[in-house]
Amino acid sequence: MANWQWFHRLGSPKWLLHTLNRWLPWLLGAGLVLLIIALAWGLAFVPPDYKQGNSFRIIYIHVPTAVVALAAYYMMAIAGAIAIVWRMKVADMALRAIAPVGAALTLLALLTGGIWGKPTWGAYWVWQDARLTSMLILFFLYIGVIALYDAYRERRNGNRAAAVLALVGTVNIPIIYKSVDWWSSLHQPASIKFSEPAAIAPEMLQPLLLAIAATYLLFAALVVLQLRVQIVLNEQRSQWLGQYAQQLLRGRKSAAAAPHK
Amino acid sequence: MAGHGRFVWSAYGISALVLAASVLHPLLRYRSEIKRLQRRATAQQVAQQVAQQAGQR
Repeated sequence: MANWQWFHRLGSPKWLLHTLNRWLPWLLGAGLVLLIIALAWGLAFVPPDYKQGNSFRIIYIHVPTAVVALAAYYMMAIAGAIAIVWRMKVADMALRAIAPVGAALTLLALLTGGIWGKPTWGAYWVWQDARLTSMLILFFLYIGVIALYDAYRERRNGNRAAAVLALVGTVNIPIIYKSVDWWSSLHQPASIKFSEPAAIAPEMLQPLLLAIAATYLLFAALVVLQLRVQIVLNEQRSQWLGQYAQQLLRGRKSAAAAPHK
Repeated sequence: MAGHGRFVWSAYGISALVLAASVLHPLLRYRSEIKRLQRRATAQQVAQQVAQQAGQR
């Protein structure tokens, strides 16, 4: 029989805060180190593209942020579903933690894509393109979720409205993904496929895969940072948090008082 | 970067700024909330001690 203890522990904000504090330095450190390696590799050690020259190097920011922005939306929608079905307050906190990070990633994908578009297509933005428009809609969905969860006097109602919007908006994700196949699009089709070999040179692909992995780790670190704030805000009247804060204070004072060995 | 430098560096530059802000904003917010809780706990302790001393007199 599967051990579901971890799921119940996950619902405890106290256990969660302690665990998040333990993981944060590793997630942030590993993400930053891998990202720096991937970007340095992509900027300095990959030959220029035969058509695009050096502007293609924007791919190492554009693709990872776009990929993780999409994945983040699904995770946010799942958190919303769990919040509605199981009324789990940690799920509400998770939704509020993922939304701003997803919005920032989508914004970066849009901006870097536009900057890349100028030397490649001659335009920063093209309205007729389905991929661009559906990514812009994704950004509006994130902003909508953020606006909703703080728009109600009762926090519960805001949580539910935001969760519903997150769920309704999931239809956008396959549209974004398939837009380059379904409509004639300026944006190029997928270079990395599950069924065929990649349409991108391996020397260009390797740092890209590393950058994607690094961005997933950084996404986790950023969500952890947001989630810690949500826990503290939610639990500020609880006893365990007051004691935890006092423990930190005493720990800091005793560390300052004791002579370093 | 053979003429494409301003595109590549502006893209990387904006990304660095957004990443830095995304780390610093929640980090500083968390620390200030913890400090607020510490101040409240200390104030409560002081109030309790004052009440105890007043009770003893």
